[in-house]
Amino acid sequence: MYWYEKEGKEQDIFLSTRVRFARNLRDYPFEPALDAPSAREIIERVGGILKPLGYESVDKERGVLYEKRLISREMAEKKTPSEIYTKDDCCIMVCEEDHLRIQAIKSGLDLEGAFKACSEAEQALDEKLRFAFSEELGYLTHCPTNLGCAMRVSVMMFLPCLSEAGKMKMIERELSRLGITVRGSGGEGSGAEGCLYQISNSVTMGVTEEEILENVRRAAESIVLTERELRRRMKEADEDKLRDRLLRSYGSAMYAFLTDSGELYRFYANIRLAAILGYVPCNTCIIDKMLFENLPYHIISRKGELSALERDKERARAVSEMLRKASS
Amino acid sequence: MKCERCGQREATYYYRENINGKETKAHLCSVCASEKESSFSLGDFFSGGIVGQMLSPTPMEKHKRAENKRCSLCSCDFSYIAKTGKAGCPQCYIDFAPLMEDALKRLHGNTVHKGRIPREYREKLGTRREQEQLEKQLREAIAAEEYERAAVIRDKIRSLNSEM
Ligand SMILES: [Zn+2]
Ligand SMILES: [Zn+2]
Repeated sequence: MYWYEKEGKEQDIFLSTRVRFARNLRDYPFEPALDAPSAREIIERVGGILKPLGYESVDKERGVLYEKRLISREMAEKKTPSEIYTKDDCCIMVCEEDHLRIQAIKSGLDLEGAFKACSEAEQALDEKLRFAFSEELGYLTHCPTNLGCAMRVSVMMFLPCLSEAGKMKMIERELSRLGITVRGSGGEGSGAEGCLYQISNSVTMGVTEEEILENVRRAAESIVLTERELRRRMKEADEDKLRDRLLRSYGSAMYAFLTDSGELYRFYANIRLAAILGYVPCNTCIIDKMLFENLPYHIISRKGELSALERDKERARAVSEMLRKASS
Repeated sequence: MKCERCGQREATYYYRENINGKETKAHLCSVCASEKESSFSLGDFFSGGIVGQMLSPTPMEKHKRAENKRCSLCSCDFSYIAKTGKAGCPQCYIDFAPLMEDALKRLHGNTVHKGRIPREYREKLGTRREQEQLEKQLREAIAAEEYERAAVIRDKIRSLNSEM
């Protein structure tokens, strides 16, 4: 079961919580100096530690894993040796930008859970490996921006009302002063398709892991308050119109014959909000699944190489089927 | 686009500054924008870049002196790091520490690592801290007349000392 299929806390706003540590082995260079045999050596060593602990290497298409938000785009496009090991909520990328990117992903809001799971994986590897570290700079990473704790905490949030009210730029500015990055999370570009946003820490140095966690929590809480308030106000202002608009989108998704990715994101945002407000009989997990599993790589993985038009046809069919099943 | 000051993070700010009629514009990331002070200068990440070199001669001098130095592990030279903004290997941070210092300060502010410590270093760095902790516990146990607990703690301190 993937993270988006599981029930989580505060799913009306939070899709996922992720904690990620970057770690490197002391005796190996970074790319491009890291040659293929050395990369394979790292993969072997890490696998040798993780497999007895119940981790498995993942051989699913990288594009699909990327669309599921399990791996980075860089990892998906990688041509040199690299590996992905997973167990429960942990997903460890080996030989990505850093030798190790240890991550835990939980559904909904679960900072403690993700931190605990990620720390356990990190500790298990720390037992057996020699991590590159300096007393002053902390964990030594490929990119100097990650030095220090080399830890990224991020929550994926669904913010349709803030985004419609045009408030996201302002929030981005305010939070950046507190060392928090807000960025659109949906789609290919940097845009916030599907009203999905990623809130994460940009500061990793001079703070403890717990402080990073706390900073992200506080930032997320402040956003939640505003989004909920806007939802309430929007409903109060003209609920009939809102309901009409969202249900029309639901109807279109149900009966469309061709749906491209951009439209999928628009349907997604409307139907998700409709479900949260109780206008349509779906839970948010099904709607999230509808989005992630109908992105291009998923369709290709399911149906083989299709033309763009055939993909849109398949997407429309699959979306309609999922919505029908959910409401029956 | 990338931040023009650190060259690392995504630029989310657009800055304009007018000093003595000379206008400076820059796309900056959130961290650089928040750290932007009067001493603000544009430049590439490590080398100080073209503008940076004009503004302060030090990085360039340092850079010159380091031209022949190579990293003891990956054998890259400093120009590689200056050009890419990334380290060649973990050892680069140690071998080129004096050269990277300014740039790292620009990137992270005047701070040092406060987070967790890996096992190997924990043994080295942490033993002292652990011993202090145990000694404190021992004093507390004795004060509370919990002699059995005190004996256990004393054993722990002893084994810690023999490890050192
Ligand atoms: Zn910057
Ligand atoms: Zn090096």
